[in-house]
Amino acid sequence: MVEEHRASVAPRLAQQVARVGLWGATALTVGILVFIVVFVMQRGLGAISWSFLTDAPQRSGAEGGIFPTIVSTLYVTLAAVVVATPLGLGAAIYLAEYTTEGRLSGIIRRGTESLAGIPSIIFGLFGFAFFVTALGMGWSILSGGLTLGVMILPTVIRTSEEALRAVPREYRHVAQSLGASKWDAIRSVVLPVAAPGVVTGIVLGIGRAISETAAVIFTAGVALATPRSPFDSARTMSVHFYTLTMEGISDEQAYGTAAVLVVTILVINLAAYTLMRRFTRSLR
Amino acid sequence: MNAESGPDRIVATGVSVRYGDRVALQRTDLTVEAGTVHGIIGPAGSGKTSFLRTLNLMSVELDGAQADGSICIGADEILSDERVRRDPASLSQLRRRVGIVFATPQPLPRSIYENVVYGPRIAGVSDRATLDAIVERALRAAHMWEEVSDRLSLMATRLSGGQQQRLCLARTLATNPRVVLLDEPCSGLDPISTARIEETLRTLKSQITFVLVTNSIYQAERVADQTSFFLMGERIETAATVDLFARPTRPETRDYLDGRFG
Repeated sequence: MVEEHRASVAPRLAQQVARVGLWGATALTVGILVFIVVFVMQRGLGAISWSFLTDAPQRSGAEGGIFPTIVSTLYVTLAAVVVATPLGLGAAIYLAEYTTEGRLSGIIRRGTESLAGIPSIIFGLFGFAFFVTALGMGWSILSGGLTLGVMILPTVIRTSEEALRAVPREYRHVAQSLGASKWDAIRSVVLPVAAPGVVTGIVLGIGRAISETAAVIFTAGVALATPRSPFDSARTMSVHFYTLTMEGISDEQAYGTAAVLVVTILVINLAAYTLMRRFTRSLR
Repeated sequence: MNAESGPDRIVATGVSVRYGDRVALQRTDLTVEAGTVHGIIGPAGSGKTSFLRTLNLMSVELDGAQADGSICIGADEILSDERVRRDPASLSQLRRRVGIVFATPQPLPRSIYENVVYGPRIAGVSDRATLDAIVERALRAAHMWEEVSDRLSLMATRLSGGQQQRLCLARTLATNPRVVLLDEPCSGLDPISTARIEETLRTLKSQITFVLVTNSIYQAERVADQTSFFLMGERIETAATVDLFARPTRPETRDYLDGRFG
């Protein structure tokens, strides 16, 4: 009787504890996120005005706006995406569709994963040594974009490969049974189905690239003028924030920049998912 | 389905299929006359699906099988002792000529319309009016035009299982095949869909040769002109369906038809 009683209460208690624990973990995660956003917004929103967004900085950024850094951020990030998407998707297609699981694909996969774990400042040093110096591109949007592209490559490869592998094998068989070549099947059936996953990978990559500081400071430089060509040096928003804070130029301007950066990331995420939804719907 | 194409005769000679060390089919001879429905019956593991998927070389290209022997479809020797055809262009041509319907309905995640036109589009047909005509003709042939003509943009995955399978048949017919392979196409389907698929075979067999692998001996009895019995990787016997069911000559066939195994 006692045994039975215990047996019926203990699992229910465990259930309760688990539920509270899991709820707590979720609440804490969301809480921290909200705290950070509120923290940044509270300090930053005051600085934001239309002229803050459209004007050039004055006195090293102590006054004026941040227009050049917004433009630079978008350029460098765009360059990174343009570099990483075709390379990453190509590598993912090769890994998922054209290799059988073996030693070679294992090495490639482990290599890719290690690449993802390398600190961004190392990518910055690499970019400086290779793109800036050896290839003579100097501090430029191009150098910064290429460096960031290499940096987010593992993210794009990994998520794209997972997305491709999640597409049922039967779809490929159906396509090939109807006269499609292997590439036809990948292009017309597998990629559209995997598209949401691929886009998720690219968006994750954008998130990493747009907020990167260490890798960019070494490769794109810190020039405050609005860049006119891919070969111009540029200062991104995160580098601007870093400079304003570290050199004690203006905390108010720094948090204003941070707030704009956070909002930009949110907008890009939303836009990417909206586009993706429209894109996949038109394919169906 | 149109005037210039016609059903093909299939002649398989000494066909063996292996997956690594496992032999799925050994030295099988079988002739399927043009414009007939040929039923293949036998218990699981008898090699009937391996044989079927070798007739359009899917076993070789996609399942990692090795095939030996010779297969002629019409005048075209698709498999011979010297070589297995592997170049993409002739494989594509082969698949359009020898279509297949799988055991479980496999609609692609797109609309009914886009499912049917997938094969023609890959073959390079892009004219809207031509595609529209292909869709109507293929869906009519599969006896589902009346059911779906007003909602061709519906996601195919939202159809019932039976409708999905008839859509897959229509999709196969859309490439104008001369041979259609059916791999237990009605397992798990409702009786109405099964009847419509069987009706399609009866109507179209003057234009298309059908090879029907089925786990229902009753289905073979209903639609097959000739039936072969496979057992453990060998073809045991082939006869006109009526004769095979009335007077099987081999004891294994008799046991199977009597329901003693499989």
